[in-house]
Amino acid sequence: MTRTVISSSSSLRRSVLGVLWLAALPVLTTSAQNSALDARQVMERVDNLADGETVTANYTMILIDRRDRQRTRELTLYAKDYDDSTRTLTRFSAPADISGTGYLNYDWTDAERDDDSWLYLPALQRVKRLASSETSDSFLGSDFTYADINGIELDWYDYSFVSESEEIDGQDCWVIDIVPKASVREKAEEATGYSRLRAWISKENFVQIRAQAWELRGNRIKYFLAEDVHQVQGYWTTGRLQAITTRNDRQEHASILQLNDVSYDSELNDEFFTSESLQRNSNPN
Amino acid sequence: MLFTQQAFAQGNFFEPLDVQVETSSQDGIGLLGWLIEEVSFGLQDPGAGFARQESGINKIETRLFLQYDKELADDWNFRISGNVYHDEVYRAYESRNYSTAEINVHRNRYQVRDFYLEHETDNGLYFKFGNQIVAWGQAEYLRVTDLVNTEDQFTFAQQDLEDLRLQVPAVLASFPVGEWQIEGVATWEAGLNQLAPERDEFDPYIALRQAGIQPVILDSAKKHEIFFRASRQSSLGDVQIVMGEFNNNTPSGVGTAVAQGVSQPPAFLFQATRNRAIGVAGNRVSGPWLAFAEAGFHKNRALRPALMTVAAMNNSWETKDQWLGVLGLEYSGFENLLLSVEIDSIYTQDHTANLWTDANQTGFGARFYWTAMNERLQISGVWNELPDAVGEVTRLSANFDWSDSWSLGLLWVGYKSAPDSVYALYDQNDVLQLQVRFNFQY
Repeated sequence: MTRTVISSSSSLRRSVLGVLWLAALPVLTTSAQNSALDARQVMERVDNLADGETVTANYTMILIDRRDRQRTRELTLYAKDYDDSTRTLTRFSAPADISGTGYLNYDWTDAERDDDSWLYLPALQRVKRLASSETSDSFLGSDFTYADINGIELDWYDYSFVSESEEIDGQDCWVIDIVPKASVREKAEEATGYSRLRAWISKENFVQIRAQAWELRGNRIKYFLAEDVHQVQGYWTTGRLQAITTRNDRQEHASILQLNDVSYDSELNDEFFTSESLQRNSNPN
Repeated sequence: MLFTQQAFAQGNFFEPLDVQVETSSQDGIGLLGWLIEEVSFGLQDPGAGFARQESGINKIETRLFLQYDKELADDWNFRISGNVYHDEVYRAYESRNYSTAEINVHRNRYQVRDFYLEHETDNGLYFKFGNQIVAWGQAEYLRVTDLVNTEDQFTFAQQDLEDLRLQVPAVLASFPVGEWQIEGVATWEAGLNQLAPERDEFDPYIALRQAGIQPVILDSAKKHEIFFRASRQSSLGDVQIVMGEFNNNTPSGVGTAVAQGVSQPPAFLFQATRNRAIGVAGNRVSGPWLAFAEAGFHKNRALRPALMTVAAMNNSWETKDQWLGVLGLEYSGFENLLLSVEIDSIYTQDHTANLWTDANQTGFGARFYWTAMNERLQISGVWNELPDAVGEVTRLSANFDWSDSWSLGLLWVGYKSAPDSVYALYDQNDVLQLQVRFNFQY
């Protein structure tokens, strides 16, 4: 089972680009039931949120450096759940120098199996296979990493409450520390680039509305913020996701993902999620 | 779409940042491009026979690239793209002994790049008609299975990556068979590699011209080429099997022409030989490592004679069958850094002492690619020792994205070869290049 860095969920839709954005309508539970959950069970609930069999979403990504200079990327993301994996294809349409860039990822449900990833660079008109450890690298210059997008393994981590009730913007939240298990620490750290994480989970809908990630290198901490959480086709969806990378308590860089439109459960062809499709202008439907 | 968020409060990194988000429309039509201004400085005097006879500026090029995409109907897409070039160096330094060919080729030119129609059917059949790139294989320094496209060889290792391969007129058909993808490609008049014109800095025939011999490139005897590939992507690695019958993109000697009077220099005739090849390429991923390999058998390769005398050139170059192999390794375990190495090998069957190359040739390549400042800054370095140790090329480049529209680039390329190598003629072509690029999109 694969989990995201800040959402600990199994698919891209529940990852940094996922659960904060597209978290599903949770199974209704009473406050009494919620209060009986331990930290691991909370994260499992986050993971088990229904989020549709497929997702198609258009985003604008803004990159902001420490001098406040902004760069903008536009991308379309397609994701589909399979029995053994979640397959995601991302295409960039702007700016001009990266237009046509495509990224394909197979996120296997088997925790022992590395993700399979391919990158299509239009400058070369060639598909390139990516090594799995590149998952901790920045996703096209943003503050999100490939691991943030593709997720990490829930079973690799220990979970503990920092607080069982903290109010964030009027929402009662659990605050949970997420630390790699000693037995898989090296693997978990290599996959994400983070030494530990902290997540704020809304008790109302099990949506993760904040997260903090401590990077292994450079004394950096990342701050993730989900906003404009609303329902689309019955699925909880985050309209805006922000990541800020800090070093010694100063902002180094920031990225914002703005959801422009999204549709769930539309038909996406299996053939679309192949490396051939990356280099074509294939229709996903 | 435009909206504004609340002001960012320093120190509280969970506060929303104040940014404006603008998105472009997505209506199936796209026009994008870039304008590039590039100035190159040749660091040495290239030597006798070349147009430039001192160190100095050797390129003041303005280039406009445009690409237009249109979705014509469901599953039907059209693309056209191309470059327009102007090199001001020929006017600014007109006192140099530039050849007519150089001026005609480089001063003003246009180039159609992609020009195709693509169609995909519901059952997975895919067709692409027109000028296109078909990039196969894994290797970076030796073409074992990457057989389809010609190359821009006006310079050596100075081109941007997107300009190295040249589109060829072709029809590509692709369809799935189980876990495999089968592709067939047929080209028509694909042409040869673009070679530097007379007296240009990488004129491949400069030695002949210095000896008073005129090279003449003949049209290929056969105009069509055909290629097939079966490929499969799978967990932990991909594999592809390639075969084809094609013209060698580098022409080889096929004879001499009789001089027509004392004022006419003798001519050596060059033409593409017809080759067949079969090869396999694959990769394997393990943690931060990506290993790749290629192996191929190329039949009927024409090989340069040891001595390019009139006697030797009276007949076609000897043709031999060759085995080619590539082993490569990429490591990405360091943050924002990619390292790769590649070993290339060529074995010539039935080798004779009359050939310029050895029976066994080995080449090496190494590369690093490092990004910083969230990929605003990209620095890369390549070192390539050509097969048979005939020469080395070192390439260092830095690019900085000032904004979405503006970027700056700096490139240095150095050449080194053994004194007795034919590449020694190009040793004095080290170059420093500055590039300013403006991207746009509508």
